Amino acid sequence: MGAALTPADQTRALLRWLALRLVGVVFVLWAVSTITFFAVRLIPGDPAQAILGGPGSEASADALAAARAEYGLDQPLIVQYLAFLARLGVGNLGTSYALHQSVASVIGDTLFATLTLAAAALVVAVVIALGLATWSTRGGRVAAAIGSALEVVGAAVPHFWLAILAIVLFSTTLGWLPPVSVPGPAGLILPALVLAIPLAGFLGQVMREGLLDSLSSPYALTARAHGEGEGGVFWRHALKAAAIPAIGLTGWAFGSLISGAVVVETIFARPGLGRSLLAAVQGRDVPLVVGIVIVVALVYMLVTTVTDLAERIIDPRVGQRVGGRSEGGRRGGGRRRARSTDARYSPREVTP
Amino acid sequence: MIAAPLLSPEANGATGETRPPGARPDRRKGFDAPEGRRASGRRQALPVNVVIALVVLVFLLVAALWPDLIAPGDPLAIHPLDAFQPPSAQHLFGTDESGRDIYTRVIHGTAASLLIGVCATAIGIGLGLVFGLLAGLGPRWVDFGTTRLLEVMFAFPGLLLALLFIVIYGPGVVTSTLAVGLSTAPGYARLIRSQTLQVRDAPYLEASLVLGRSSFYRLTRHLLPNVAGTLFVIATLGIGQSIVWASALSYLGLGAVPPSPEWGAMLSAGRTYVTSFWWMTFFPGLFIVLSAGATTLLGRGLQQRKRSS
Amino acid sequence: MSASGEAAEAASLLEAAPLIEAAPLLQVRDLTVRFGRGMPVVDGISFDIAAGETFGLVGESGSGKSVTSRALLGLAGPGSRVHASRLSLAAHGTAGAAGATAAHGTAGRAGAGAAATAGGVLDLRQLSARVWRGVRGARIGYVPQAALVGLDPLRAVGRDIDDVLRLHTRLTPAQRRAEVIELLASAGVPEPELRAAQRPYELSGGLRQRALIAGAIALRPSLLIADEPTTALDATVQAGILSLLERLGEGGTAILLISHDLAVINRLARRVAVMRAGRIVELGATEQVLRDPQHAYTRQLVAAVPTDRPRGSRLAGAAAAPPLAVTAPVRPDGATAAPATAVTTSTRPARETAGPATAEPASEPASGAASPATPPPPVLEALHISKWFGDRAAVDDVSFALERGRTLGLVGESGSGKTTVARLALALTAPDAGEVRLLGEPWSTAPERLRRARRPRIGAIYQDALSSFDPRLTVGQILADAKSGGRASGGRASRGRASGGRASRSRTSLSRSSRAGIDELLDQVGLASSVAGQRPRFLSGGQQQRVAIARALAPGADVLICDEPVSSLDVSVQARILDLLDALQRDLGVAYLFITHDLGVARHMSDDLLVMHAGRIVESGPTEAVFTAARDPYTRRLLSAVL
Repeated sequence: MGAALTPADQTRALLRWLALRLVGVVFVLWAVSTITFFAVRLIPGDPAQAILGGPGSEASADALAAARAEYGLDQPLIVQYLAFLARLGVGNLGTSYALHQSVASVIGDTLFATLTLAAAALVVAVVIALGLATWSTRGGRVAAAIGSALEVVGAAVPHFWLAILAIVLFSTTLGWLPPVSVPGPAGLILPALVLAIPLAGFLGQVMREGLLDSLSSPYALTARAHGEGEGGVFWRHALKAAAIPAIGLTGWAFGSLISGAVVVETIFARPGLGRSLLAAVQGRDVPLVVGIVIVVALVYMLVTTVTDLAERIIDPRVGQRVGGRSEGGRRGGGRRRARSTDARYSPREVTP
Repeated sequence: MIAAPLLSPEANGATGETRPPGARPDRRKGFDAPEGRRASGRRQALPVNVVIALVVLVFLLVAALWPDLIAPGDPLAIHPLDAFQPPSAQHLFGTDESGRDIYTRVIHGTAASLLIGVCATAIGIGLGLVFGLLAGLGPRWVDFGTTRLLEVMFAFPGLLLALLFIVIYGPGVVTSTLAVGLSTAPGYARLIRSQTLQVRDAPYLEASLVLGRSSFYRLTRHLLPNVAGTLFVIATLGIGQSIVWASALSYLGLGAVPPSPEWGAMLSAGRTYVTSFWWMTFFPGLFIVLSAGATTLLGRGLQQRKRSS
Repeated sequence: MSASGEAAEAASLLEAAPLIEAAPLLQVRDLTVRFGRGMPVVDGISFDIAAGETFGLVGESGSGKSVTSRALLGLAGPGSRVHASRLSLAAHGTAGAAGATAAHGTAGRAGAGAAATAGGVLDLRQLSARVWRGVRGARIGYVPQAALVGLDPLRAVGRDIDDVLRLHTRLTPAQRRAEVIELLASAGVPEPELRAAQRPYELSGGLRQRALIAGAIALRPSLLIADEPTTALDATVQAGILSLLERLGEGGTAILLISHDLAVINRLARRVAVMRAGRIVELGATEQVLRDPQHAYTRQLVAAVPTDRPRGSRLAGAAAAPPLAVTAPVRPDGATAAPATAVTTSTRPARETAGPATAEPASEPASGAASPATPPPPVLEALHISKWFGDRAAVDDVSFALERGRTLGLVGESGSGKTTVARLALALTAPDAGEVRLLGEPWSTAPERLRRARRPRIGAIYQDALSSFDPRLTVGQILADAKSGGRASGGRASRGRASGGRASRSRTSLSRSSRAGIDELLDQVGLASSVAGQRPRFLSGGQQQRVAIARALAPGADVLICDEPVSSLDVSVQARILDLLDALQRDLGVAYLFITHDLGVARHMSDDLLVMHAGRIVESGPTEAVFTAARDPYTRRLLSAVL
């Protein structure tokens, strides 16, 4: 405290953190690839058989040998692993067993559609969550009740059931929207909505708690005593405070959106990464599964890196907090700080 | 102004330290908060949402243990002539493509579906406990290694780990349960680790050390019980989540296989008829929502109770 | 832009607001605030504040003083109902409001200024939300209670001050920026340009409070409400803030100063009102109220202040006497307090090693008479201990000796290393150099395995008693657990030669005497036996601290490390806890290492005193000698900061 950090120092610290973080991303990517590579070796049966159409196919011994040679399966495991890493290094994810097409191109064809869906759902979820949180912190009991109900919906309603309801309601009954995803924005509405609603429940809860905390905080009182109106307190102080935990959740939200996309794309017959993944899992198309897993892991890590960076820029304290083990801070006698006032401002209890 | 009897000894303790009305008994100095909050009494009426959750859970429990009590029919009996009947007085939830009564099937599927949720949660928390405690209590390098491992596991977001697991071991009830347990484990591990660290650094553990307690005593009498206290809430919340995830896998055809009356499997079977015969998927889905919602409500209620006390 | 437009509109509304005839600056009559259907938190209080006057409002937690201050700002909070037969603020006649307009002469001031010069009196009871916004910040400045958290942590410090200017004036952003820097400088913030751009957590507590004051005085309000402006701050920092407020008061700003600290009130306020349970029990000239309090509560409050109370005198009145009614007369001196336990250990290690900082216990004239012929070893002794964190020495070559039945005070400001000394004394952390000895035997150098059996001889109580209890346990369980850790407290009288009591005996004593023993322990610290079944979190702060004391004494401790044990308690509760500690020392011969930031408490409690600064002992000796003839410049500064 009191140590004057210049903005340049802070920027430098941020860049150092970012560099370390990117090294971490590379490490995790390597670990993910390695785990998946060795995990799929646990699959019982002959991969060559799988390449040639699964156990049911009656491929000749020659054909099997040819397939083994083609996919390098006759090499020792370590050689295969190194070759796998080498190919990975140049972005070559192998060839799909089922589609006989490069995995990279399959993913390239579908990744954009899924990312569009996920991004649209994220935006919708944030808008719903923010609206709900705002309304319920300022709108009294009814809004708070709806807010907490949606919270439970977020945790308890599976995507597929929501999708079924949406199809029955909007397509079958009302006929407003196509039950099967068509190209263009109209086809995006239902899938994005279905993906967004459960997420909005989670985000809404987090934002609501953040807003309530901030609105009842001592600095909000200071602002009011300065003559700031409720609207000013909300926009200038509370919103930022509420955004931080929500931003922190974005990485997790992305993961849940990708999982949801598997279901939603299947239901709405929307081409995308999720549907390809499901098909690959059902058909045990190992290279495609491995490829998609690695790409999703990569995107996930990039998303969390961006959100962590955003968090650090909004609140530089995030970087200064020593995560996990807190012995350093504790020895300094910080725990039983004399005359600490901080303890009084315990997080406000949120009751539905 | 009348001189009020000052600091008279109160019944609570002979010291006569009166607590300001409405203020919570925490360390505050010179701070008179305008809290008109109810005194933190120990016996409070249960909140409405917890009551609702308990009623639903009792119903589901009866359905799981004695399904014949509520639905005496045979869940597997086929009546091809009655196929695709909409909900009616005779078939409360309608019938499926083979004319089986969906109500009977849903009730009879309760046991299997709940069991999957409970088992998956148990697996997840079990693994989480091992890794979380290891990281929280082990030496620094173990914590470092475990944390890195968890980071890697987190890079398989959501269902990805479960799908990878199913690719390897093939679809089925057992694998999908294991898969859900496995993919929830990193989250539990992280939670338990942070709980452990928090309790480990708590002043009361140090106070116990000052009293001359051994590490073993502090671990078994203070640390583990306090970590376990939060686990119950986590587990309650987790069961709902596991049911939802397992049903999603079943719906995708990777979990329980159709003839058995498991909710996810019923959904999967009804998938093709969504637009024409909505009740085939609506009612099993409703039960998933009910069970997951009830456990979530209960978990939230417990959480709030813990926090407010 | 719309905001300042709105403010201007609000200002014009101000003129139309209901006006009452000219009067003192602030008039409060029968102010009542209640929340929901509960009892009133503020119950019909009345007072006036004249222009330029500093008025004190003193009381303990829950007395309703903060709610009063917020009610005066129209910010009593959600669910509150405020009534008053009169609540008015004169808009005119202060050097402040009118002067600001003249001095700055900017067009932007016109909004606030026009209202201020309109003359007449503003009825604060019937202002619309919009008019209130024009009043807050411009006419009434507010320095919030929570100096450390009163600024938005996500924004630069300057922005919070800038808000006031933005809301109430039409200054351009560039003008506002310059004004913010100027305000910070005038509030005594060094390097204002840098500080304005920093986040609050990069500033020390004192600077944060100065920044908050800068925001509150930005528009030269005629009334400044300062709610506990110095509460969380160190003594020397406190002194700086108080002189800043003093300067503002001299400059013509009326100040409503709210504090629990009589010394702060005494220094600044000309008149004072004493609040208790929502009512004003006494009001008058500060000097008179403090010197000759009329109301029983005020008398008690004044008596509870430990400063200048000689060692051994009771702080709490007879009415609040804990049932530890052994009615021992005022303790004559430290040495006679522990007559029975003088024979402790047969071994008597050399203790001539004590360094220059060693407090010399026998030097106090009163205690000379009873000084035993062969002094037993000190119960706790530190020999040149040092502890480093990175390249910073938290504790630097500290030596002291604590004799049986005596109290060694350790004072210092936050970060001075006091708590590290406590942790070293408790062998929770090992010194990097030097040695701690307990009862004449090696302590810091012994392995934990051997230390464990002797740990019952040394106990600790903390500032935050609650967090030192396992949340799952009841008071009875906590005490039973503590008792079984060492030996039964009943065996204290006979403990004599059994140095380093073995844990094996404790097992039997637990099963035999648990219930009765716990009642006895509770009785010893002045708690009813019914408390045993409760969980600590349902007890008051004072009761929690009593449980903590009982726990520390349960295994039969010879020495207690008291780390800020009364710092978060109200002054009257603090008085009773200090009395309790004193009585226990007399009865049991326990020695205390008493760590505190509060010099008054230290003076009251300690036989000998150590003053710590930046890890070093800068002053040591008999308490009165330190207070009357401090040699070290830091000590002198510290002492002068406490008035």
